Formats: sequence, C-alpha cells, structure tokens
Amino acid sequence: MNLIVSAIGQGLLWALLGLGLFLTFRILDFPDMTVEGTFPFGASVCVAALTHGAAPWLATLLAFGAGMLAGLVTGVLATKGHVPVLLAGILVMTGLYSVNLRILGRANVSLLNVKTIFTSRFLESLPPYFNSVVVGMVFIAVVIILLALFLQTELGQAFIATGDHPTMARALGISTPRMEIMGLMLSNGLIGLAGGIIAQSNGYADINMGVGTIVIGLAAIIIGEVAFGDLSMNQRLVAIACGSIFYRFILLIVLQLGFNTDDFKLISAVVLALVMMLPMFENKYHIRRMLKKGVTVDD
Amino acid sequence: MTEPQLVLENINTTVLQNDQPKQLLKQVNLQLQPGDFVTVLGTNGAGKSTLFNTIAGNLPAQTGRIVLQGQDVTQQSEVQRAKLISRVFQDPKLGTAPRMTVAENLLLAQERGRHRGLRPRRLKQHLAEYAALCAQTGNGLERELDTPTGNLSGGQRQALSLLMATLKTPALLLLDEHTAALDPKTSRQLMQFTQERITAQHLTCLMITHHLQDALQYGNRLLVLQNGRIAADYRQEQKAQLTLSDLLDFFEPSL
Repeated sequence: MNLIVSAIGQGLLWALLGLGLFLTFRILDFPDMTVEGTFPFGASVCVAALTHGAAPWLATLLAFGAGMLAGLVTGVLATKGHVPVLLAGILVMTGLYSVNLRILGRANVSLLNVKTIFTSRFLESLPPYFNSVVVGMVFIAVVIILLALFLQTELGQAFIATGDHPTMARALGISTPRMEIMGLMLSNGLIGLAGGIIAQSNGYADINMGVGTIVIGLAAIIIGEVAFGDLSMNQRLVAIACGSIFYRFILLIVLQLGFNTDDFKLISAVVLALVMMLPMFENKYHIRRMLKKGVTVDD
Repeated sequence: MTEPQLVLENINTTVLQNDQPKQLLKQVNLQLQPGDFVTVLGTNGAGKSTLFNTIAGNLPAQTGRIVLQGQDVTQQSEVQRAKLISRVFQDPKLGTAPRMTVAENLLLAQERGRHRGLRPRRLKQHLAEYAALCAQTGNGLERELDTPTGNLSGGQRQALSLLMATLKTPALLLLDEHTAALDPKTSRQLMQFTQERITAQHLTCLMITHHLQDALQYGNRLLVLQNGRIAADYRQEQKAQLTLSDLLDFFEPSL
C-alpha cells in the first residue's frame, strides 16, 4: 500500500518535468537537452536558498526562475546565435554542471532540519507518503490549469503554430524566434521548478540528479500518448500526469520482480525504447489484430 | 491619378549560389494601382518567385525601394510586412498548420500582423462566421472546421489558404501558382473562388501562373518576366487583345 501511494506521489511530482518537456519536445518539436542541466540547477538554487534561510515558497519560486534563465540562454543561442538547438542545449547543460557545483559548494547538500514546503503541520499529520501526493496534486493542478489557459490565448496559439509550421507562422506575422525563446523559458522554468520540488521531497540536492531526466520526462509524455491515443490539447496535459504515474508503477513492478535499483536507468531506457517502438511493431506485425484474433495456430 | 498601392523602384536582387553571386532580379520597376489584379508569367528561373520573395521580405533587395500603401517597407522584415502582405503558395502544405484545426488556422490568420497577447482566443464566437465563410468555397470545408488541416485534401487546403490570406484584407495579395498542384477541375473551382474574393474585397493582387489560359482570362494586367527583367507589361486593352500564340512566342522563341 505504502509503495503504491509513494509511486503516485512521485509520479505527480515528476509530472511537472513531463509537462515542461512537452512544450519543447512536442509543441516546438525541439530536442532540448538543457533539461538535464536545468533540473539539478533548479534543485541547487532551491536547496541553496533554503539552507540560507529563504522561505520555502520563495526558494521554490527561485527554482522556477533559475530554470527560465537556463531556457533563455539556450533560446538565445539557438535563435540569435543560430546554434542548432540540440547543441545549444548540450552546451548549456554542460556549463550548468559547473554552475551547480558552485551553487551547492559540494556534490551533495542535505536539507536535514531545514524548513521546506513539506514542513507543515497538515502535511506531517498525513499517513506516510501522502505528503507528496498532496503537494504533487496542488502543483500539477495549478500548472495544468495555467498551461491550458495559456495555450488557448492568442499568444498560446501563436506558440503552437510556431511549432506546427514556422514558415506559415512567420507569413502570418508571428515572430517565431520570440515564440521559441518563450517556449524554452517556460519549459525549463517548469523543469527547474520540478527540480526544486523533488529536491525538497528527497531531502537533498545532488549534482548528478539530472542524469536521465529526459528519459523520465519523455516516458511520461509517451506513455500518456500510447495509453490514451488521440486527445485534445488540454486532455494531453492530463495524460502526461497520468503517464508519469504509470511510469512509476512500471518501475515499481520491475523493482518487485527483483531487479537491482542500480539498473533503474538501464531499465527506464529499455522501457521507453520499447514504448517508442510500439507504433512500428504495431504496423509491422499487427499486434492489436493478433491480440483480437487470439493466439491461434494456423498451420 | 490615385496613389499607387505598390511601388517597386529599381529593385536588384542578388543571391549567392555556390559562393558565386547570381543576380535574379535586374532593375525591376513596377507600380500597381489599388484593385489591380496582375498575372505574372515567365519560364522557370525567370525570377517570378524571387520577385515575390523580395516583395514579401524573405529576400533582401540589394538596391531600390518598396513602397506599399504609401509606406516604405524596404527595411522591414517578413514578419513586419505580414501586416500588409498575405501570400498563398503552390504547395498546399505550406499554407496551413497541419496539426491545428481549420477553425484554429482561420483564427490565426484573422490576427495576421497583429500583436498577440494573453487575450483568450474566443474560438467559439467565430465558428458561425467561419462556417459561412468556408461554405463559399463549395468543397465542403464548412463541415471540417474541427478537422486538423493535415487531414484535408489538397484542394480544400488551398481554398483554406486563400481564405486565410484574405480573411483580414491585405494591402497586397501574392498568389504563387496556388492552383498548380491541383487537378484541373479543382484548379478551375479555386480560380473562380479566387476571382470572387478579389472582386468582393477589391484586392490588389499579383498572381504567378504557368497556365497561360488563366493568365489571359483573369486580371486586368499581365507581366512577363525573362531573365530577371520585366520583358512585357500588357495593360487593360492590350491585355484584352492578347492571344495564346502571342504569349507562346515568349516561351518558344522562333529561331
């Protein structure tokens, strides 16, 4: 029971990362690698602020701001500097590693006896692991509602059009570089926020906590898409949150099967690779038809 | 004499091709009056598309001035010029956002060149208006308002592109062989619809075409481009007297 609640809580918290990634990977169609630097950047900034006595809400907000800053740098490199997005992201990610070390001062900083957003009488009165479910629910609900509202504004539609068809967008007077920078800032802001919240949930920030985050975010997006199929934009946002929770359940099952936690990242990568190849297998071997027919031996 | 809608003054456009400068437009001078519907003919490489790209701001002109509705736009970017210019391309894929619906595309086009802020998009309020508009195309577009444009037929997409280009009346409409990718029947339908939109809104329009019959039948003026220059310019009566064989002379010069 505790394991299930924990998986839901973690899924909700990590869903912020999936939502951030959705803006670049899916809407803009940008392979933004900044993410692996932004996530620990948000965590570092948040933890450093907390250990210096900042209020938890302020530290969390700073994590969002830090992420936006990282996104801005990638965006300016890509649009004004004409560096390919993939490379721009890798450059910022690499640079951020040093920045994060500077901010943290060492490779790992604990939040033991430091007040965080999880420090409240209400949250501490809940049964174990329910605190991350509640915090995750609140953040996910607010972020999904704000994103859904934003994407329905004129600006949001211009942003979607930029990702869908940049040439047409420019012909309609939409400044596509501005939209791309905005998308990268918003996306990385959310990812920094996710880093800050997860650091508080874990009780520490670690310099290596960004490794593999892209896979986790993509897993949430893609599992959501595979599970729910054709959806409207707003539904897709909710599907990402569900996908993120499903992903935690998959990991939970894998763990229950007796795999070592050290193999987690390999397993994550394999699971995601399989899920991504599903449409190809589907076309080639007609899995669904085969399943419907039942496994009958023809010859 | 009324103020011209479009003035091109001594336009020279050069691009680099394999590191060699290549002049695509040479000393182009042109004035269009409001309501002029000009068909543009020329062989491949004559500079038709370059002319459009230069006017729309995709390619910078090395010399000269471009004035639209009395406003000098020579230094403006493509995005800034979108306030005044709209364009329909030959390739149906170029005109619409494939994953967005017909209605969403129309809404984007309605705000062409306007500042886009955090105002709600108010899609529902426009649906009835868009349905009526799409019904004019005569190809069932009004039933597809909620369909992503990637699922439409080429004819429907081009009709939609034309609607989008004329939804907010442009100072200049550029049609770049917009019927060329369609079958003859759909192409005729779209040309008729184009004529209706242009007449109804009194649009100033330049239309590139390879279809000589269309070039003769439509518009009040005809330009022939050759090697980056305007080789011929037929006005009203001259154009009315033109025949197919006159035009063919430009394309198959007698030896």
